[in-house]
Amino acid sequence: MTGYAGDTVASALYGAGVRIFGRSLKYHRPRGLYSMEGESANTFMSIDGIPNECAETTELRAGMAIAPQNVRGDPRRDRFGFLNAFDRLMPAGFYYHLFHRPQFLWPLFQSGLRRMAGTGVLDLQGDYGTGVRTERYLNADVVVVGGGPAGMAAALAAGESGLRVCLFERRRQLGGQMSWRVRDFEGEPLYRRAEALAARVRAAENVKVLTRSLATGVWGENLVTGFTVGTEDDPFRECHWECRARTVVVAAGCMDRPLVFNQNDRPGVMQVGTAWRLARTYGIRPGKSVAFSVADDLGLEAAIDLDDLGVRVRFIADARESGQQDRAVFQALSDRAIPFFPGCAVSRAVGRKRVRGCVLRSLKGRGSRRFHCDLLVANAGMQPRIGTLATANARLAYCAHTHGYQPTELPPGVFVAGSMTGLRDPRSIEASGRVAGYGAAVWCGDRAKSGARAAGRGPSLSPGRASRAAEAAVREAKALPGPPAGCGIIHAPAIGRGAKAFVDLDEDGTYKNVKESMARGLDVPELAKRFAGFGLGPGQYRVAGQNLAMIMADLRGDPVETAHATTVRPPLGAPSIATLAGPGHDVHKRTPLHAEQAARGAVFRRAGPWQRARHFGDDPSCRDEIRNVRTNVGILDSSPLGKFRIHGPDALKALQRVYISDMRKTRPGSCKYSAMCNDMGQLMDDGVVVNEGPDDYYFTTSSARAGATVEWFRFHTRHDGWDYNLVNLTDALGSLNIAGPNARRVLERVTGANVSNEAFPYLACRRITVGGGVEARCLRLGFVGELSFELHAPASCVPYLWDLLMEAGADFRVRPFGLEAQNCLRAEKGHVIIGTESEQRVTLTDIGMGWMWDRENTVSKKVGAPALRACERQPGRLKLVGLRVEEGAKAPRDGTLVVDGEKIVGYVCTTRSSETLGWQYGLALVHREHAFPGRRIHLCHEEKAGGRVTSTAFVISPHFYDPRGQRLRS
Amino acid sequence: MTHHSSGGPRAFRRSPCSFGAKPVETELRDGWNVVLRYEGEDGHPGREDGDPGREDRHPDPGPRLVDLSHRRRWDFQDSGVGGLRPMGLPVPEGFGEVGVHEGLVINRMNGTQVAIWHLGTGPPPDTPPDTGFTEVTDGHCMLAFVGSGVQEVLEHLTSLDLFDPARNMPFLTQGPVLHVPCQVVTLAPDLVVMTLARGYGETFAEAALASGAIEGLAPGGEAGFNTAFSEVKRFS
Repeated sequence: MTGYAGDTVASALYGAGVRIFGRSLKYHRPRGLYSMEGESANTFMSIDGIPNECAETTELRAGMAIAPQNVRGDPRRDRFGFLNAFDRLMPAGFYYHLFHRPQFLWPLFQSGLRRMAGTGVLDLQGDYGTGVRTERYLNADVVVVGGGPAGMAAALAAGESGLRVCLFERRRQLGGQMSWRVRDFEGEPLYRRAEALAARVRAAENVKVLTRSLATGVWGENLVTGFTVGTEDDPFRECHWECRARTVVVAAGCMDRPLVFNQNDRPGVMQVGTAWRLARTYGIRPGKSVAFSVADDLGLEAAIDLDDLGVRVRFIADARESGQQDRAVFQALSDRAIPFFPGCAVSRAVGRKRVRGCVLRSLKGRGSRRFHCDLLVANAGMQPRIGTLATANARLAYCAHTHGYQPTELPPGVFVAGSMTGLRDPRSIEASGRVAGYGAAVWCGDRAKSGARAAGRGPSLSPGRASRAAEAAVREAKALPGPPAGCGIIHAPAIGRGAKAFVDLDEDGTYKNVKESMARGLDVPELAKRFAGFGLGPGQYRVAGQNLAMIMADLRGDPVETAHATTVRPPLGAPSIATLAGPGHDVHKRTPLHAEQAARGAVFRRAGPWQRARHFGDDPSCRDEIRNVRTNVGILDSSPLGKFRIHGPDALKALQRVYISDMRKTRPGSCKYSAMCNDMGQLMDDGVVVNEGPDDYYFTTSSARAGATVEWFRFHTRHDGWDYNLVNLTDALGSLNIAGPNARRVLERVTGANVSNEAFPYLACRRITVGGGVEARCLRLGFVGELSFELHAPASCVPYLWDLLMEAGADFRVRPFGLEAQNCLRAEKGHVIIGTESEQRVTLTDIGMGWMWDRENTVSKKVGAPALRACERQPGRLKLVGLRVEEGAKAPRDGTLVVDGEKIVGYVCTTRSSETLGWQYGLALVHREHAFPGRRIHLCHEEKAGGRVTSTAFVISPHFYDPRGQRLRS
Repeated sequence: MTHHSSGGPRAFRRSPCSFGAKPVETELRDGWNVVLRYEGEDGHPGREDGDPGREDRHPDPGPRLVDLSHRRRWDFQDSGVGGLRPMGLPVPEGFGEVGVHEGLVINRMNGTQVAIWHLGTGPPPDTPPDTGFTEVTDGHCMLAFVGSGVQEVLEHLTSLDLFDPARNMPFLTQGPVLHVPCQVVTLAPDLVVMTLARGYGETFAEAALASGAIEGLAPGGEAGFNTAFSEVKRFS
């Protein structure tokens, strides 16, 4: 198949003579080209292996592979076509009440139904061009949805006011319906007028025009989303837009309201806009002999235009008895001697697989007449495209004058313009756009002026002038023709049972199905939608929406004004899931030693925002790493540790408030270990504080809390007005922990500082120079229970320090260790990790760290102190204990329950089999009555089959390894 | 590759990000290996929509991402910061305002805090002894987006309004770029400099280059930034 530049897949297929594009969902009826903007799913196909691509809106590209979907065999001869004869077996909601008994057969029916009603198959192994989808964020003062004459006029008016304007247009060109209308407008054809407007819009410096771009919804605070479909020249396939706007002008236009009549889904039945665009946009003759059944002046204009193009127009039926507004059109009809039948509509299409003729009837039911034709262009007038307004939360109501939904209340900053308000006169449509554009400018106020000035642009309208311009535009619009009366036809005459009069083409929802829903008491559109599937197909509300509401009001016997449409939900169009998902970059933090550790075989895991080395090599139990620290020397990259500077005259007061200890006892050159609690006395953080000078302190926090520390300080001192400053140095300083009996000997080789035990005792802090030039803080700490030094140095220098230490420690076979080894080492020592051995039910005192609490100090109002005092002797609390698992017993795991008979009395927080100790140890939280040394407790293990076994352990002190701390002080 | 300094001490400081491109001109500066120019940078297809009114117009090389993490930066905090002159610089009055003075950029972050960046080509000043100063050079990754098309590139990375015409350039915006908290200074329509926590540097730069590739974003050396910044100084 070949096509022309600018062709869509659908227009190219139609031009090539294809009339049956696919088969319907339920009855497998033949379906043809009905709409041109993706309003129905008739032309959904598999394109380049991707199912559910809309042929109406997909532009033709060279080498495309196009295949029908939901077809067994050929669309012209579908093997499931026989289902059409069994429509009685598939009434509304049949899926909910048939095939369910006997119940065991339901899965069989379910799978069969799904196979038969499939909407394409996705090849999960297919290459769908990942990486060519992108996303962009825009900021605009005014977003205009719709690039028709009203949208363009609004964009120009707002742009003239100096505002940043962004215009979304779903089609490839601006102009809306004007772009294919040739009738004369003030001395030139309308399409020329559209081209002139489009040229002005494209030339406007501050108007960003996005064509092929569908606005998919308006969200909170005027966030407009949309997506652009890329062309062959674009570097992307789809681009998702998120545009934050101050105001939104909705000028989405209108579309044909389908005429509901018997066999209205036959290939060869199409909307007015479809036939017209085939002829004028794509240069394709839509049919040789065409019948028109319309209800709007645009339909008449289309018929005249097609007649002028050489298409034989058999007749024009107009559902309006009278009220044709456009006298020029009416005169043109007379001039061409086209048979015209007011007050009539087509009641039936004739032909099995495509239209061969039609039956015309008077709406008053007197007589009928049969015509031959190969194309039936039908509508029930025009209906506004309300989707964008609905997603913007505008209140909509049925208008008895225009016979369409109109906004009765608009959200703040949302304006509406154009033919969707019912206007039809081109001057009125443009004027309404100007009213909306200037209205938006007035809404934006001073931004217009300052924006233009800052951007160095030419004269723009001041807010006052914009306001006057808006008033003038309103006066101009009022002087022009308003919305003409619409047509309230609900369905064609002689619809009978309506078994094959389709209200919803996507879901094969017929007039008869509406009646069946009503008969079951589901008598409003929201219920019928869910029961019979109206509007649930890819076309959503667009084809079914207004007709369904009108038909149901009619069947209820209510006035048509009570017809409420179903809720329209975004997205209004369907970008691919890949586009919505975005590029999926994994932006995370890496330590300054990431590359060095990776080179040594580190296995990384995410820990908060950081990627950290969990272990090195293939052994997740890290036995070698642990042994090396216990007996030799290891290096840990502890860079994610929180590191802060606090300075200012009230720095000490702030420290006294958030730390539980007496922070006045901090001394220059030494570390004070302390903890932060929350108001409930639970441990939130721990670390060391170093006094570095008058009103100047350096402190560390746990890695997990580093990001929340500044806010924590500010929150807990918010009423005090204290003068202190915090600087987060977490990323600025890398941190290396060199630990093990040989740690000092390695460190001595890279620094001239005296690091002996006498000069640099446990918990001391010194500024040392390493490697002949790098200044570092060196803290002598012992989290892993061994002699260890923590070097805090500028992050950019840390790789250099790593190399130095590795080189200096090569004789000792120094090696890195990861988080798992650290976890085991500290657990053997009985040092807690927040969130592992602490939780919301336990306080600082419960986990044996109450010794830090400065009980006497009430002046500082320490965070958590009242709670600690209140629950210090509370019975029934959980306490942290050490466990020694009985030899030969089943080894517990982290999280194993501690039980007393049937009662759960605690759980194991961390447990490992220790090579150093030679037995399985654990840290557990157990009820106080079980928390005394020597107590025998029972551990409950879940078995795979759901069974349970218990093993025994003994409560001991949690400080299993070097309980007196001699090694870390050595 | 040419080295302006050779035979001196080796680089012992490492930038938080690398671009995976081949440097053709580097300079060893204060322990940093600074890339002045990358391979292919001059031959970059770029854009041709420079300002036709400018006499010194040269073919625009297109958007570039430049690593400036080695440029010195300071945090200055004081409850009375508005009335002080840190490093002799006047503190901008309004939050989000930025001053450019002889190669130093001062950003008013909030009521008590300013950030000072050294972006000029001369030697950076020493850290003053006032307690309010903290050198935070190593705390950040600093990146510059240079050249025409910068706005389009940044539209792929953030929803922040970095080119709000109602604000006078240069100005400061604090918020997420690629979901990472950033301090962003819009110096000119074709020059935006931002800092982010150093740990994010590598993966942030990877993501920025990948997202910006569609707009022609490519790694750039410091030389291109210096040229662009000198023009900002002239107009500020």
